Amino acid sequence: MLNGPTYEELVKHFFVRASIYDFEAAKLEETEKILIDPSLEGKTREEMSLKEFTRTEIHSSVLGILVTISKEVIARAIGCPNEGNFQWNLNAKTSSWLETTRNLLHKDTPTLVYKNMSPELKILQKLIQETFLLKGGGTDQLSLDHKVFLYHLVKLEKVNMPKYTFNHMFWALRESQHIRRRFIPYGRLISEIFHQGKLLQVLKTVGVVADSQLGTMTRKIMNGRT
Amino acid sequence: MASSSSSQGVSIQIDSGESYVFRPKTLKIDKENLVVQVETPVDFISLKHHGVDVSSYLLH
Repeated sequence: MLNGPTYEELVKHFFVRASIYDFEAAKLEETEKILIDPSLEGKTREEMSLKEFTRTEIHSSVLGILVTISKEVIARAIGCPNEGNFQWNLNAKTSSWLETTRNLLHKDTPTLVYKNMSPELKILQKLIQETFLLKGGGTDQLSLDHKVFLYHLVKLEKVNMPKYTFNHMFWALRESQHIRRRFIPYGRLISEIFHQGKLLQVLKTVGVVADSQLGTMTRKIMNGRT
Repeated sequence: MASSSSSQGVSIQIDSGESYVFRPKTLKIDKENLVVQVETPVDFISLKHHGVDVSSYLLH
């Protein structure tokens, strides 16, 4: 799946129009409806002709077509079950994971630093940063959340990849909206969702398929030289 | 859920018959300044050849 093209322009187009649809956004919708028509107060969402709120989603549109991304959508797109371990936002001082990850990953040293890792760990760590939880910046220090992810990989325990992915995308979008973070993660995955949703077919029929218009790009492969 | 028969469960509606949806921009950053990060594909065979076999951790 990773070996396909990425449509940079489409991804950017998607991202600048993306909005977070979570519990708060749903509540806001209700409040707006009530403001317009006060008689709706106390009624269910269905009675207000709103869709029922079932899960957090990212809503956006690409060239006028509505696109929704949620954990379930990601799970289907990457063909991976929406289950497994998920730990995030752990307290870096008090969490019991500190002890657990330390015992497995860095017994002898107080902190886990890139240069002290075994080659396997180094590659896994690079993989996490460049494929699973993309981040900008250096690779030297790991946060506890990343360590726990690494721990699960080393212990061959299943992680809930769709949840991690969605969570990360959600976080990145929020950061971009609030503190103008420049990076858009998962360019390839978003492109794959466009592809599977037949969005590209539609664009083809209207003649927007030149690579320059879609911003098609491919990337280096991680191999023995890395 | 927003899915149509032709999109087979992926939630992009292309034949809903509704008019096109235009959403306002939600980011204040200029589109040109955004950087799309792409997941790196991994060549496990090459890594193994160079003495680092990580496929067992990931492919099972």
